Amino acid sequence: MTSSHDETNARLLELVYDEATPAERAALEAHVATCAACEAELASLGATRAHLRVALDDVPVPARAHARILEAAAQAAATVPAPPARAPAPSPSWWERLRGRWTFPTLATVGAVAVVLLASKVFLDPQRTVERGREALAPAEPQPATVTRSDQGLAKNAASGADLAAAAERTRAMAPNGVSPALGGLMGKRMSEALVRKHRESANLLHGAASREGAGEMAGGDFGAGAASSSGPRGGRAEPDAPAAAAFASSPSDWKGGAPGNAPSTRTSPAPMAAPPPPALRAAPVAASAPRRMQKLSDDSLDGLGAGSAAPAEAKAAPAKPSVAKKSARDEETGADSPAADKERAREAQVEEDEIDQLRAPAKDEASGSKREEAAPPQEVLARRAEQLFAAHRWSAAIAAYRELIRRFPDADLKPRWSARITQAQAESDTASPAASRPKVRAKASKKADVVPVGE
Amino acid sequence: MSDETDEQLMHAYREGNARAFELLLARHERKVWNFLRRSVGDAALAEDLLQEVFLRVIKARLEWKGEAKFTTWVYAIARNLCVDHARRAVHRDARSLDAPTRADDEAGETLHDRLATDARDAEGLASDGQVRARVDAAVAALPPDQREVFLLREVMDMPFAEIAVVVGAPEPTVKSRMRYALERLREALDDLRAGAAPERRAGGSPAGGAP
Repeated sequence: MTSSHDETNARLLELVYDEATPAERAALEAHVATCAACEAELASLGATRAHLRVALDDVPVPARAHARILEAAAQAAATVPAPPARAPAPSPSWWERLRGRWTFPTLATVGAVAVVLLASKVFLDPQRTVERGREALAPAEPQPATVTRSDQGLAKNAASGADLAAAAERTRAMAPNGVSPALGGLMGKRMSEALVRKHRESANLLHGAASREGAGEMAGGDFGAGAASSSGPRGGRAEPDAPAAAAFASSPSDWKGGAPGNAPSTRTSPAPMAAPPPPALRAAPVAASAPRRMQKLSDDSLDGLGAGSAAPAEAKAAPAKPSVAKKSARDEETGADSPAADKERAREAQVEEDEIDQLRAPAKDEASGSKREEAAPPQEVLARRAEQLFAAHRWSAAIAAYRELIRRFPDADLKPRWSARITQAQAESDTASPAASRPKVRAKASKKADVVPVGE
Repeated sequence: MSDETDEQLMHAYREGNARAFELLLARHERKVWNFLRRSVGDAALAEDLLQEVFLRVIKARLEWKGEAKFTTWVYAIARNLCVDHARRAVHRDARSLDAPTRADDEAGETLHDRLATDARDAEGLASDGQVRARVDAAVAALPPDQREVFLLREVMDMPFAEIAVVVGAPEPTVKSRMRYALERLREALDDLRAGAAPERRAGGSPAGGAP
């Protein structure tokens, strides 16, 4: 193995300290044997180390330090501690338990799902969220008064009062055809007074119902007045002295901008209210059919009078003339006692006929739509009215009322009672004076005369 | 028990055998002491450091795993203590060996010159004690990394590979440092040998320093 001079010279130290492997040592010694410089260098380093080894004396350790070290070592060996037992693992903290086990992942998952659901509710339907927020921020509306079906029936009764007023107008309209105008006006006036009386009764019933429901919750407090006046001037109670028919017929709101007796196009009944009524007038839609019917009948009556002298009115009034002529003929045939008695009987007959018509009105309205079906009086209201009529010995009206009840409620438990009442009322009616039946016949005739043109 | 290796003795001491530690102390105490004494140049300080080295061994006996040689571990402790002491000494007195010994005489004698002069003065005594003093002065005048390697090799009798582990330097670097240290000491010894007779004949102190 040959090596260069520099490499060998750099590794001479390994020869001095004898740290070269035998092969390396042989290679180094081979070069040194042939290289005078390396040989001199090796000799110099060897001599220097020899001098240093002599000069570097080996000073003994101070006895004091040695003793202290041994003392410390003995003490340490005497108190050899037991092998350090593994310290009990510190109890994991709350956070470590939460993080290390299933709690944290589970809670994180649940929270993420909740966030996703909430976000889907909020962001996927923002309009609804905004509306809900507005509803929550808006002040709560006052709870509207609950109107039961019985109250609706009472309101219907109030409307029936308006129908009766219309009938009075219709009776007055009959006057020019066969009776003098003065007589017709008198009949209309008396009928109006009777109608006002009935109207008050209905209003009182409504008022009582309203009191039962808690009149304090109602803005007006007088529900009966509101219902009674709903078809008349707004907010006003029907004046007891003034004829109710006049009050209803003169209401501009009912005529909807048209004067009474104007063109038939104005007969179209307006919507009762465009906006939802206030709580106190919640029964107004129930009684809204009353002014409409009254308006129709009033128009018919006015047409019959020919006051407007309009061509359509004359056309409608034409069919009424034969009925009046027939009535006059029957009066002559039956031999009326006197004009006054005849008028009285005609008035009473008309009242009864109107009441019957009122009772049948819901049945007529059934064909006109479901809205009017909702306004039909319930069984108890009709039954109460029939009982009132029966108690008032108004046999024909009572019979009609009971028949109407049987027709409308054929499965009612009180049907036998109603049938018995009909039989009893018929018996009572038969035992009454024969003259009482004559106005009834005439009323039926007039009824047919009135109904036919309208139906056309 | 005397035939057991250092590692076996250390294990025995861990088990509470104080005798095992006495044997370990007998094997390495003197080398460590001389290393410390020559490294720090102060016998009292070297004595304190010696106690500190073995107290650390006693305290750390339970943590010692025996993965490294016992000598490497103990000498590393001694060497690190010397390094720490040297750093603290530098902070206390930052004077360089090449700095003037007197602040008002910038061109005057340096500490290095004084050490060399002191060695030459001691050499004039022509005694072994004087030679040791001059050698000690020459060793103290070595650069720290060279002196460290020189002492570990000559005093501790550590091979270069183990020295490399203790000082944390590659083995060739350790050999190179050792070569430079020997050359410096050779020059010091040559100057001592060559100049001793003429100086004695002239009866004066040598002029100039090392060549």
